[in-house]
Amino acid sequence: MEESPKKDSMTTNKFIILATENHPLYYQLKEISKTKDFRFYDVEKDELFEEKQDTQREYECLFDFTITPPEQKMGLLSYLDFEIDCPIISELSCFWGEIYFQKIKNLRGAVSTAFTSPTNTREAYAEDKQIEIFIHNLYQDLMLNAFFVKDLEIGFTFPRVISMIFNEAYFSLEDELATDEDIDTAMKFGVNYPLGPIEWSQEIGALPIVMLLDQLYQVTGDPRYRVSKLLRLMA
Amino acid sequence: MELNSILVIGAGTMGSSIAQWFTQQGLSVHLTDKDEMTLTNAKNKIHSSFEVLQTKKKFTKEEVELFSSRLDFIKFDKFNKDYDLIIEAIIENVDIKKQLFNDLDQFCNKEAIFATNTSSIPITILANDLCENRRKRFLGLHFFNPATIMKLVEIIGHDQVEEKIISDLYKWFESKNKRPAICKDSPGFIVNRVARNYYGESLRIAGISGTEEDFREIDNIMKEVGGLKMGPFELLDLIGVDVNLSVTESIWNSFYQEPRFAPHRLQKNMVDSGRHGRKSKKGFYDYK
Repeated sequence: MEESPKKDSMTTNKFIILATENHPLYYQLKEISKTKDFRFYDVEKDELFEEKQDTQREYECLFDFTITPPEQKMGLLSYLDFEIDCPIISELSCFWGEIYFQKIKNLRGAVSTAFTSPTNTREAYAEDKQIEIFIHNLYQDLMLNAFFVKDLEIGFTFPRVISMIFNEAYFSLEDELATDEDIDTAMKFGVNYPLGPIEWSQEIGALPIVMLLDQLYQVTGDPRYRVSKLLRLMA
Repeated sequence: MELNSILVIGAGTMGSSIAQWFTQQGLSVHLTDKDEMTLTNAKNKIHSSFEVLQTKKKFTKEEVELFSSRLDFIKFDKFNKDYDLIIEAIIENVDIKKQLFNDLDQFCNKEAIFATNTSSIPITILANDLCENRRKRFLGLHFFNPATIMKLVEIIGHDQVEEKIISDLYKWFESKNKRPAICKDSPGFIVNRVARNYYGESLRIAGISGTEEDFREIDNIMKEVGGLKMGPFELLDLIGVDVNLSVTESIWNSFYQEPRFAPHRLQKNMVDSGRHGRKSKKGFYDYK
């Protein structure tokens, strides 16, 4: 991991945050936008850029924290790419990052904050130093540390590995192998997981897990990514 | 449930560690192995472990003396008929285990509970040839290495086991500060099944031409972001890349080649080229 760049002051009212309520950081993002100089939009409730001057202003960066189906996400990012001329940093925990970077010209960075964990470190990807600084600064506001990865594929490493573990835990429940409590106990006390897979998945919420596994299945065609029925029901 | 006397058969890494844990719970324990050298090594290892624990003030001198007096290392043909619980921790070979349990079935008292520490052989198969009464008192007790430290014990039943034995053992282990988990007889039980993709998915992320830089990044992410104690590649090197592949193949085959458990070519290539992990000084990382 590279050394943290120094925090820039975000005092020029040049940052936009878009989010959906299903994102685990939604309320935190909304809260910091009150004290910091961010413009916050809930894409499901607010009319985006209703005032014409909103799109004509010069923004330094737009953070997209929406969790929506892939086509909707691509639609939103394409719209933003057309309407706003500034770098975009997007939550891509559940998405095929490579394709978004190929199609969205202003997409310059990605964050992975949809999968909560017991640590305060989250993965991120930046195409250049300036984007890295923007991510660092926002992560700092969210009390998070950034782990910058060298490239992006489908989702990020932690969400991908942990989602497969969760999926197997749900397949085990479907098979009535053990109770959810015993599955959590086994993984915590047999292999030292910080949380049991069932309780952990419930903390994250089933939706991003299912979305990521579906995206992996869709892109690779590999049936290993088939989602447990029980997990899908929860989403 | 009251357990006073235990026989542990197999004095390798797991057997000796299980015997030591039961001794530390105040039970009278016999540890046996067909190979006398293995038994002698286990004796030395356990006694030196007691010394370390005494030095670290985990136990007093009196406690260690008491443990030592309650733990006997006995020749394979010298163990007696009367134990409350017999735990088998020998080689993972179904025929050898079946033969052992069949012999024990005829020799040991009717009330003794038989348990296997197998991690890969179906409990049902091992129970099949036992007499009807014994099948009710036969189950899996899967400990984790080292059993003296790792709190989990998977309690694995089967169709004919007495439910009361399962629930009584659950309570007994809980009372001894273990964390028991009850599961059905299914390949890999809980941990070896659910944890499979810690390795499988990490191998796919690294890809067939994964480099040490890739392994390091994935290991660091799983530790720093996921909060896990060891990264998947560090763990593979510690367990043995070959041992882990063999477990993966066994579970994959037991589930009729279910794609979720499919082994990865990178791991197979490493095993074929002798990169077995720490024990061969070469694995996903190099060791001096």
